[in-house]
Amino acid sequence: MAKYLLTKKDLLIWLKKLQQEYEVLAPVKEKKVYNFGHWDGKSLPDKSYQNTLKPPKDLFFPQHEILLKYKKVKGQRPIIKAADLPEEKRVIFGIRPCDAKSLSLLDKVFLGEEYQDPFYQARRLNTLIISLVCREPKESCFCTQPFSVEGSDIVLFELNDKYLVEPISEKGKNCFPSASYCEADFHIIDKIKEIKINTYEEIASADLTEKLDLIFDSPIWKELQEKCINCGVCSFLCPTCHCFDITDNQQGSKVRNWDSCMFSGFTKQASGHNPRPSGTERLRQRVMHKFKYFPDKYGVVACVGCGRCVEKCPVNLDIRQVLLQIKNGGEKLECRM
Amino acid sequence: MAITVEDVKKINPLVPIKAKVTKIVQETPDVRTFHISTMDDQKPFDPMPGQLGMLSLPLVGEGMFSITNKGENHIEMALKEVGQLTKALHEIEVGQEVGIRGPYGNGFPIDYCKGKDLLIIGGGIGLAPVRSLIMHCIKNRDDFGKLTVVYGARSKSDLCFQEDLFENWTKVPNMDVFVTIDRAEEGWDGHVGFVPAYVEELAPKPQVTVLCGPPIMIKFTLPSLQKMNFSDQDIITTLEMRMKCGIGKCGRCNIGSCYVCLDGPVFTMEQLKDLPPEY
Repeated sequence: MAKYLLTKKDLLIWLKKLQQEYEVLAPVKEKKVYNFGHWDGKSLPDKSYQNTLKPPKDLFFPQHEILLKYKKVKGQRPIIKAADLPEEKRVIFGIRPCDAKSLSLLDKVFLGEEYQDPFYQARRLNTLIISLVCREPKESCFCTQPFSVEGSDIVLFELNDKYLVEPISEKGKNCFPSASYCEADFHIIDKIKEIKINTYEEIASADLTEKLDLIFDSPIWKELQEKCINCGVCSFLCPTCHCFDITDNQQGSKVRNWDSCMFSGFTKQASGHNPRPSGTERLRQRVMHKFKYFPDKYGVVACVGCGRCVEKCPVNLDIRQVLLQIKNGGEKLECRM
Repeated sequence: MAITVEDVKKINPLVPIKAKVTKIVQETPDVRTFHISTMDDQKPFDPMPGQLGMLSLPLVGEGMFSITNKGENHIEMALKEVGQLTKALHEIEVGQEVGIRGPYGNGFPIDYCKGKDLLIIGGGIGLAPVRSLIMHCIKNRDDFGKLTVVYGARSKSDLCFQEDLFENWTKVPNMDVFVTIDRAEEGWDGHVGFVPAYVEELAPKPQVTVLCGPPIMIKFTLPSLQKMNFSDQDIITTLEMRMKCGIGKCGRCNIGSCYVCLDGPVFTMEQLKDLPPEY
């Protein structure tokens, strides 16, 4: 696909133009970390930007969201009214390819064949994703597709003081005035190869899914659980973890909040029976969901290798090590009959 | 044609239909059956036996329950009072406005059961989901072979649907109903003992068996049924998990790669063998 060469100035002008029609969100530095926020219209992320602290999922699937309201009219019975769908047109600029890919995974859940989530869907339809390829991976990163275009409408490559712009989707092509810019020649495109990529072997692969099939009853889970404190940080910071709770609040709304399979209340039934009663089952569920159940259902692992869980786990439970242990455990692992 | 936001606005699967409670039957001290119709006295939706409905009480919450029966203009749900929501639902009166959405799940394999003799086993509130199947078989009596129902509860007062058990169903042709309670008590001259043992003792010989009860009963009854030479595909059960969305998104009702709300709640023993025992 065609790539276009833009100077930093060209890029700023184009983004400014988009800002007339869209709310442009970009990585904004808050103290020491980046998160997506209102773009100031002049600055671009500098070398210190590696990725945002929080994944972009909350821009589509907020941590707290009103689903419907019970409207009380005096003298009448309450009326159930669905919350208005978000209408704002947005551009997310500077999202990393791993996180853009995570949106394509969330799409599989929220935009399923049978049921679509209207709140998520409205935000997806109203948002243009402009991703920015990493210049070098973080220590905690373990993605193996740093140039993935999945989930992106437009992909940007940063080359010294210039940018290569590659429109991907129809939406992206319509928003990029390609006629105004020069198409990049192969000498320039070749420079993409200078971008550093990490050398991790692909740890979240198909043979891992097969391995997981055999180790449901393995003692490995109990061993891993001894370290895990079931705090749920990994799931809240994971760009693909999407489990949620629905409750009614006293202000007269039905709300949806993020939830985590790490918590005991997640599956506890009213009778007190809990199908996943201890941390061992819950840790296993999280690993299984990402690397076995999700692939079974959608054909792809629910991990993009962003490394947030590696970086932020308070007890240094490194998912890369967990997966390697599962893959290389060999005879140490017991087979389930 | 690409989907637009306008299209999305038309369907919101998380918004319930406004409905009302038209009748409440006190089944046991802690189980009540609720008859639910839309505000204009219609059936909210047409469930297949074994399917589920999400019942909500505004400002309290929402819960997934099996639908125990359907009528011309209503559906029925039998709820045991165990948690906050069911406690609040037990306090409502006829006329109360509720929300309902559904139907969810796969339901019982009706076509597969047609023409066959059926053994239906229930324990406690576990009779509620299988009652939809029993009622369907009674309404379409000629489509099914002999019906044998074995039902047990902790005590006499814990037996649900007593009118069905001791009156209505005893009059149905080619149908046997066996009832047991866990411990002997005054005023009970029926069978005493646990369900799995009673089933083994009765040793009925139908081809297909459907069971539902507390997880512990299911786990203890399955081996009995295998001992009685039912094939794995002919042992059918319906499972319960905590659910929030009912549409395969909230992520909590999975057993392995299956979501109980979409792929269940009805599973055969053949299917369960391939799933982790997390239910």
